[in-house]
Amino acid sequence: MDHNEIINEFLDGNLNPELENEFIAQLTTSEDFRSEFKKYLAIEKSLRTDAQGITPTAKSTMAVFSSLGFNPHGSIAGSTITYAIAQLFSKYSQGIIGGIIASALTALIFLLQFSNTTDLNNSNTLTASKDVKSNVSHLTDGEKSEELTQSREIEQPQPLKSTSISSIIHTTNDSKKILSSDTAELIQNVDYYINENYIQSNQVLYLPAKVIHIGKDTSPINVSITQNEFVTIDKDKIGLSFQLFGNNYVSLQKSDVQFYSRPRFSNSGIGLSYKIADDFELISDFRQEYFYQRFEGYDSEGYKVLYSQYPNFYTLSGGIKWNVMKIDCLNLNVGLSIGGNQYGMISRGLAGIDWYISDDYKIIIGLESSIFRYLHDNNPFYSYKIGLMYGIGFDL
Amino acid sequence: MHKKFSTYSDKELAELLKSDRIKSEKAFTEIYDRYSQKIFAYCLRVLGNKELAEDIFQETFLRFFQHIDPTHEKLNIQRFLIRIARNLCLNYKRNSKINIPIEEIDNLIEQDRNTDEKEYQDLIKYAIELLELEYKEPLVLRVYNEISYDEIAEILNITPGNARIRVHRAKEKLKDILSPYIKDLENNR
Repeated sequence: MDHNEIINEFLDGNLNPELENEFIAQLTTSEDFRSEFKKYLAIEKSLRTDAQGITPTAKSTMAVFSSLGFNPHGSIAGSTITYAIAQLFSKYSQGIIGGIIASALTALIFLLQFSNTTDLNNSNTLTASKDVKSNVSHLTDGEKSEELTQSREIEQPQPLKSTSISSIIHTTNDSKKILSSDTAELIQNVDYYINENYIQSNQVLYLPAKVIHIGKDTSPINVSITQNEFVTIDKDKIGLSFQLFGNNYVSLQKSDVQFYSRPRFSNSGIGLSYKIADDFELISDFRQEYFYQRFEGYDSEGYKVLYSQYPNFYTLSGGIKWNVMKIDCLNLNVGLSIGGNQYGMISRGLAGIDWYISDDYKIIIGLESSIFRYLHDNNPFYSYKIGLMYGIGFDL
Repeated sequence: MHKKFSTYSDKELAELLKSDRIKSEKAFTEIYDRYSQKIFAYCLRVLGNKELAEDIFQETFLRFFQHIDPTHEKLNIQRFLIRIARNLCLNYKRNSKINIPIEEIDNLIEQDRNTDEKEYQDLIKYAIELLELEYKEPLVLRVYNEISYDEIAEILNITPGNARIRVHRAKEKLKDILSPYIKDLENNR
């Protein structure tokens, strides 16, 4: 075997022990052999370097994917905005996911803590104000003088609590009157008072609300706290999708008060989903949202009252999404979720479309309905709403 | 549970190419990511012309997508891609009959004397262009596509022993062509 052959066999890693000994012997004794070996090594290295340096051009990649009607996304080495964003997310995805999970856990702890401090007979977070009287001075007159309208206030940024009986103050104690023990009859006959004024004084915020006395009741005030049940967000990075979304809702109950409009990012939220199968995803979200509430209760003096309010809530929920059908880049899906806030439980149904504008990015649009169940005086009440959900998503 | 496309086998990816559009696109992207570099390297080094290589490369992937048969028992995507690229390259060479004059290559190499490392790298490219196709092709398949002698033999329809001899002979020829510059190559590393 000549020099060339034995060197090439060595470079291929195919030398048997006998030839390996010969190779070593030649390398140590023959100057010519060493010289030839160095030449082969130089060529071998140059070939490898050349091979590693060749990549298809962005133009070629674009052409291939465009011809097939695909998006080049991660495959292109070009500098499109989408690619740049995708690279950014890829690079920092661990941090982003970690941040989101940390935020979700913080929110969970926050909500649980509030649940534990909701003592309805000692609602320190809801304080009466001496100024309230002037803020709600335009009570009903004439035939509506029998109504007693009450205003409740909360410290920013807490939403008005449905369980805050002790916080209710009577703005016109003199006009208080027992109307009827027949609640149904009263609700039909009463025109609700709406306080449209938002008043802020000494960092105390007044939320528009209405309370109407509808009858004397001697039963003691007895309100329970609803414990929330939250889903666990899967921390596995693979198959995660991150969403930012907004909502436009209408209440299915006729509202007669304005909603609490101070919070930023109201009717918006963040979502995480985790793909557990080709067509199914676990979903979770954290959002700010409004629910119109209308419920009965008793004031501190035992009068039966009707409350009407439109507070803002922080809600955490989780559920499952079924990707029913895929048409091109459109993914038709339905979902169910359950969750809650410190005041009650919420269940939702969603029918929507994920429109994939690239492999990783999608535009989300859907119709969503929600039911909010909350307790007041141990009695369950429900709020219903339906609306549009829209947003953007990013698959990790 | 959800499975990343990068973990799918070639066979699974080929099957997904024939499923719905989203999966098909993702599967194709994964295949492209796996093999595009090697296929482009094959086209570029066998043809020796970048524009031409780009055209053949694009056509290769389009034909691959159109003709892939996921039910094929011994499906090997890289081999299938190379076969398509090879047929296109050979057809082109057969039709164009372009031969690069050795003098021209010598001139190119001559111009590269006393140049920087990047240009030394070009020496290899020029030297490969000088090789006859019967040596160039197995060398490219072996070095640029990193496939075994058995697979080279299958693609080129020769014996594995012959494939090995051709690769060795190609390197020997490269060594002979580049001998005057090898000292420079070594010094520039």
